[in-house]
Amino acid sequence: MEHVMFVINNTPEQDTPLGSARDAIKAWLDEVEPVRRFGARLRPPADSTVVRVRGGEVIVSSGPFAEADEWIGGFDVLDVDGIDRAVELAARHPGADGGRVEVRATWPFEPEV
Amino acid sequence: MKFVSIVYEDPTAEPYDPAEDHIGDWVREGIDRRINLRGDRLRPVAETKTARRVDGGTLVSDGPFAEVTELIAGYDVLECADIDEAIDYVSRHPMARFGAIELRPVWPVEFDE
Repeated sequence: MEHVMFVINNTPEQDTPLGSARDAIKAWLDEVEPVRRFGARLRPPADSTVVRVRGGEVIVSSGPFAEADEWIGGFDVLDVDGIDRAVELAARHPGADGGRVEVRATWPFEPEV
Repeated sequence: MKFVSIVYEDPTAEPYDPAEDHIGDWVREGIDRRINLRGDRLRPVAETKTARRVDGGTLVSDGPFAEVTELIAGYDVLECADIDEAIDYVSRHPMARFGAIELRPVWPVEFDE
């Protein structure tokens, strides 16, 4: 079962080139490689675009959906049995050290019958 | 350009109408055009688990730690020619109308100097 892992950032330093975190990130990526189906670092929330349709009109705005003092800085998909195993791997991500990671199971739509 | 497209619930949007939810058609279009690489709905937010590493130990708690991920209902990974193609495509996602879509550009991580 696939699980989504959000790496939550709360300092602007986390949105700069990796620097000293590089080796720790590389080690984590090597560890989860067999089960990691997708993953990406995300550009800062200021580079987001939000799309809404209201009353039939497409409304496009720049910036994040919700202004907050925290944001999603990384996004990974881990294919493991059970959320506890996903959390175990997620907790070893360098972003969990001083920050946090949040894990949700995916909920695939049933095939149409 | 690669994007993580985050699907949000939005209490200010119009009420969800299953008869107008053409998510299957939307996904199929993206696969046929090779701009939707993967995506999923997520299990309810109450099933989130959060992990933090503090003082060498790992703390795991139930639920999201703050509101950052609270309204997230799903995700898609898009590979589009540019932001305009991504906006056009997600504007037809049913949740652009019943919620909101946030396009987050991916920020490649370079490990080779």
